[in-house]
Amino acid sequence: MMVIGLTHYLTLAAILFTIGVAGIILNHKNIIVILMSVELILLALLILTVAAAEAAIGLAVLVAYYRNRGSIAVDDINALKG
Amino acid sequence: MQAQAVFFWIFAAVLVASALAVISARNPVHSVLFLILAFVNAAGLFLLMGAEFLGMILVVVYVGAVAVLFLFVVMLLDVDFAELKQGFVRYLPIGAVIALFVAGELGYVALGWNGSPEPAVAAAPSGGLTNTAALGRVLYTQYFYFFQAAGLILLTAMVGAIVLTLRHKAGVKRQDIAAQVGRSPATGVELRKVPSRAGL
Repeated sequence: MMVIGLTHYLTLAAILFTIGVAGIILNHKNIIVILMSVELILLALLILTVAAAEAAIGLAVLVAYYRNRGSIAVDDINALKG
Repeated sequence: MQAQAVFFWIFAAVLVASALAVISARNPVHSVLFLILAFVNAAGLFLLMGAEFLGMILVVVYVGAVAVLFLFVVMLLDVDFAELKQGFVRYLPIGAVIALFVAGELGYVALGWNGSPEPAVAAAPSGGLTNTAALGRVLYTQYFYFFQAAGLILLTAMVGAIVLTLRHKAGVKRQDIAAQVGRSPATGVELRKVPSRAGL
């Protein structure tokens, strides 16, 4: 309990990963919170560079999409449906 | 060792609580603020592990850049977030089930893994180097190509973000450098014969 080993850190990372996965499902309508959940997952996996790039690209896509469609609800994103 | 354990539990508890708040906050601005709190606590955990450089990187890059970027976008977009929050309670059971599944899989893997009991402290750099100096020594020599690949990824992200969001409005007067440089004396200067006592 009082000696903190690698196991503690890995367990914490696993909890963080699980919270991130749950966040994607619970906030399946709000793409901004989905992006934040992905950030949590990547933090748990210690992927730093790709997380920064992902946030930049994802938010840029979001802003471009909002300009064109006036909405970022995930349910409305169906332009490829035909 | 005692203080380290206490700080580990404090940082871990706040990290998990703020991560839960990120996914459950009603207002996305609060989500971003809790995300910042989570990043700061993760930085504290890195400090405990003896990775000061990574901890500072987390504060500078994640709190300073990524989280602020999220904050900008959340405040920039005029979206009715209350409407987007619908379905949270309805999806709570399935979300919990899937989270339990993921946790169970991770636990199953962890059971088969032979955990090391020694305290998690990064290997002390040899020769009395500081953490940052030791990292810099291998970053530009042994891991040079990985470092360059990371730089390329960030460059791609930067160019992509600019290309996606930059837009040229029609009807705005703009400097055209090519046209300026391409001017010749023949087109640039016009000589007129002005008759005496008469304007042009």
